[in-house]
Amino acid sequence: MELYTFEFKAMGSPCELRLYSNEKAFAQEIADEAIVEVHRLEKKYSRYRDDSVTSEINNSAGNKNGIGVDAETALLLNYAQVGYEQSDGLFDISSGILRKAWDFRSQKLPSQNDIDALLPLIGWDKIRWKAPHICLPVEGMELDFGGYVKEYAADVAANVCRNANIQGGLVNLGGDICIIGPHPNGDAWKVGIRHPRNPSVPMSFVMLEKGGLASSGDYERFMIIDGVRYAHILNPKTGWPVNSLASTSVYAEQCVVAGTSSTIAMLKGERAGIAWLEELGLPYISMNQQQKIFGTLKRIKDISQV
Amino acid sequence: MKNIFYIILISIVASACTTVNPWERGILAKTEMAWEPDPLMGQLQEHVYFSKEGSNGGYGAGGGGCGCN
Amino acid sequence: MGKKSSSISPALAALTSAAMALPGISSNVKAAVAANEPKLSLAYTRYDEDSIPSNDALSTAGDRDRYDIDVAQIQFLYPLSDKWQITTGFVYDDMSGSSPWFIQPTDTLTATGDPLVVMSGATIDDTRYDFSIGAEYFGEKFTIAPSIGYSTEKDYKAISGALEVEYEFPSKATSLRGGIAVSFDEIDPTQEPGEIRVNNEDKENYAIFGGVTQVINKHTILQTTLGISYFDGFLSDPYKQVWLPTGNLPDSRPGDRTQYTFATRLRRYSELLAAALHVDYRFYYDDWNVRSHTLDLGLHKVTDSGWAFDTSIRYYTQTQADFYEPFYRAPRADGEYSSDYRLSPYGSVSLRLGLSETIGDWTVKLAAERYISDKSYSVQSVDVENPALLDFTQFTFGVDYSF
Repeated sequence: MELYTFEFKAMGSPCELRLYSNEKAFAQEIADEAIVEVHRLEKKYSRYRDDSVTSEINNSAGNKNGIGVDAETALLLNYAQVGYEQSDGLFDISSGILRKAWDFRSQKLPSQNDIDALLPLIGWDKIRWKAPHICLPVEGMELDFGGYVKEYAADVAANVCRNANIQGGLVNLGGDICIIGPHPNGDAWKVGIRHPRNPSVPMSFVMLEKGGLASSGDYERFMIIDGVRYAHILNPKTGWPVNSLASTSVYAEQCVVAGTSSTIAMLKGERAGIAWLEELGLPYISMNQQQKIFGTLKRIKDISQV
Repeated sequence: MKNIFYIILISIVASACTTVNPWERGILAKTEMAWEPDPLMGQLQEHVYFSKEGSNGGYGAGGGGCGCN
Repeated sequence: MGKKSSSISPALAALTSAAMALPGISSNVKAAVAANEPKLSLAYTRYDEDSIPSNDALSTAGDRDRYDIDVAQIQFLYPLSDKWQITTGFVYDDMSGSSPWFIQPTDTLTATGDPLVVMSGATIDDTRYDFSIGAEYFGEKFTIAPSIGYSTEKDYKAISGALEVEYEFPSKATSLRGGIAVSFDEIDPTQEPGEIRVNNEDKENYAIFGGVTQVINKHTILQTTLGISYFDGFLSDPYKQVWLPTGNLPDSRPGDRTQYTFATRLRRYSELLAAALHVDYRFYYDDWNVRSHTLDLGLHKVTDSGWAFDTSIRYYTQTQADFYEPFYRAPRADGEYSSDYRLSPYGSVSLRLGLSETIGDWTVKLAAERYISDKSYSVQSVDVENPALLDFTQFTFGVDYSF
């Protein structure tokens, strides 16, 4: 049994696939299959490609009959709906157009007018989703799957490997981890959790034999203006950034659930976010703006002990 | 008659039996691509042709009886 | 510490359940799922057969007007879950008019001349009620669809059942389908004073089919089906007779009939036309020696604005049954006789147009069809055309509502 590592780029991030196999050619074959799946999802839901499902849906905005979507997209939309419902409307895949007001490289804040122009086009409650038809009633409305398709792709890639009988390994898509299986000797994988203010020293370690770990932080896209940090954790109802935690990492059996959970916690702001994570019951670790650490994973490093 | 059929069949198949990925099935899932886009109309037509012509059957079975001996 | 007792939070349960449904996570990409919402479909059709042309009918006989039928269809589709759906249907059919009784030569003394239709004097006014109920189960690899139906009219009752199964290969490009159907019918012809008609006869049908569906590419899908259907019992038309120089005899067909069908159909999407091309072909053969070809070419277009349009042309050609004659000059040793145009050699062409508009949950449809039969449409040359060949016009108005 050898450990093979495959590095690749996808979803705008450096990615890697590590898997154990007796045969290099087989490992390569399965890795290729898994990577193809990641790229397929990337292309299918890319905002930048004209032939993506996202573009097809967004181009249909304003058409009152909407368009039909395929089974996979339908189930992803169902998932987005659950996310919206479970987060009091904060997890909203129609909020992507806020990028038109917020340019984090510009060092300039948007005006309230800029935001007000976009708010009427945002709101999952305005969208009519009745499988298999999705209707974005007003032209200019957009859907963005970017908030969870990466974690979903991690789950899919791990599943491809497991279905091929790979029993040990992990998928790492830009920091979102999905475990294929433990090391051949049964040992768990040691996964570091990034410190939001100090990228070179992990905040904590987690030992994972299975499941997924996903993180969300205010360090991903932000600008500091007059000493105030404005991060890309935008409340879809106001259009403005949330007073969020600095970072959250959540463990769940599915990476996509871990990802959505950490995103929702960040969107709820510090107090409501922590309360929500406690209620959710999944192992998590969060750091607030004052660098105080919360969560089950701060003391217990081995998930199996939680 | 049969030649036209073969020509159509071969030209379609010749445009390659490619693997269709799940996300590419959007076109195949369109209503107009269904075997029967309007089931009620289809049932009526089948009933009319089966009662008023000498042949019956084709794509399935069932559809019940009819006093059209 | 975070973890509550052993119960899972509702939020986590909801997210996990939605995640588990995603394809690739639980390795179940179902291509077909039950409909998401209930749907009610209604349609009214007016069907009018052309009258027999005067030079084709015996002028001293009954009315040359043939059938006019009003049909009302109701169908209700109800999804019970994402795996199960139920469809219930009801058809109400009201027919009135005359139908061909027998065919005689122009000159009955010498049994020569063009055949002429003799229409039955009595006009029929009958109502048919048809009830059906079917279920569909959408599994990971299998789809199973059982159904039953009951049809009743003054002189006829039938009960039928069918079971259809489809299996999808893991590649998802190919699926196999098959099914069986049975039907048990009872015929109780209306008696006419002075005429001897059969009383209370039975008919049974057993059919089986099997086929393959293949996705050719992202624009094209092809399906081929083979079927066998066996009829046993009273297969003659109790209201028809045949002409012999010695006097009429009742329409008398063999007591069984085995039919074979080979059908293939294609759906191909044209990006250029933004429409689907439909090509359907069926070859039919039975042990009465009737052979037919059916070719149906259609174009179906659905626009983004909610309008949908379809047009098709159907071409049909059939050969005659062994024992068929327009009229008989001598009795047959096997005692089999029929002058029914449906067992004669002929061809037909039918043109259809349909238009529908969908606004929100409502769809309104209009359709029209014109069907014309003639010996010249037959692939093989026909010596004597049956004078009772059918032409009809049909108009349909329908409404669908999704809940």
